[in-house]
Amino acid sequence: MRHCEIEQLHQYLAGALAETERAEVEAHLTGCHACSMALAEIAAEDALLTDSLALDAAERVWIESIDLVEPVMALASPRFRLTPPVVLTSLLMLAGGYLAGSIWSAGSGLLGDLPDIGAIITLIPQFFRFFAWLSGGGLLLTLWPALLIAALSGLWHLTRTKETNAHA
Amino acid sequence: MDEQAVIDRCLGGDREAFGALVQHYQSLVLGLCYRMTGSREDAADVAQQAFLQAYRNLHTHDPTQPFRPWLMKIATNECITLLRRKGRHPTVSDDEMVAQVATPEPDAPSLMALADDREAVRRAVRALPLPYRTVILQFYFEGLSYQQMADQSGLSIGTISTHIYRAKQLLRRTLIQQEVTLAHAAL
Repeated sequence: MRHCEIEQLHQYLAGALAETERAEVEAHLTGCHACSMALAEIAAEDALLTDSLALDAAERVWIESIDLVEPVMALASPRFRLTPPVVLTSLLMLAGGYLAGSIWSAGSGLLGDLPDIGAIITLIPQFFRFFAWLSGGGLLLTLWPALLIAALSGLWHLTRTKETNAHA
Repeated sequence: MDEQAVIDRCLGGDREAFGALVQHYQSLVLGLCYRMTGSREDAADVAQQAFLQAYRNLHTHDPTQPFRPWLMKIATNECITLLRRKGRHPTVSDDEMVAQVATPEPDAPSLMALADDREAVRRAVRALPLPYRTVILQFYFEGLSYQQMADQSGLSIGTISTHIYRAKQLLRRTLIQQEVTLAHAAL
């Protein structure tokens, strides 16, 4: 066998040679001083690099002082996205608010003793459950647009019915 | 820690379970990012980003494969993205690099003769072009085998060992240049 290639010696040290080639290299190394010296040098370089790149005490202290859990989990939290369930729920709540306001302003006894906001709040649990089922998490974060729309809708109805009553 | 059970919990919607994975791997990921970037601030940012990417892509992790190399590959890629964006890496093209290191240097001094201390070696590693820095850190810092590196990169074991060999040659060059620079600075 000719002298070993440098890459071959690297692979030998890394345990990456196939069985046959490994046996050939070992047989050659027993009788070749030059290749044995080259192998020893590669091994020493490997040890130097492993030692030099390992974390030292000061670096370990710095790393131990860092907590990535909280910032990562904060960033991983679900954020509001205008998904079909969000749009649908918002529209339903808007319709609910409009309906409640219409009933109140028409003088129906059904919800007549409640202010509009109260009427809308009575609708929320149904949508809350609906939303929980659809979104599967991050409910409060994703629900806020629907709540905002419902509240604005209720306020609008309240203002309108007050104006109607004043005219009457 | 039963890692796969924790991953399954994450995939089942248990966000808190991912916190356990972050806790378990943060030292390793931070260490790698620090060795890649050479900056504590960048390392913390990029490690955070790596965990976030891992969380968002957890469904793509093959449960038959270990989690650690998968996570470390994400961290490496995040480091490379950051370093490229900041332009903090040697801009020598691959062809130029190969030309630089392809010529055998039988009389080149060994790394042991050139490296005054560990910091000199670290500086030289940080000066390596990204593909070579990556293989050096994968092998000597992460402790991956040639086979694992080949699996991750899609390269053959022969190519991996060539990369390591060439990276060492580049390290020698860099250490020589550093010595020359220091000698000039001392004059």
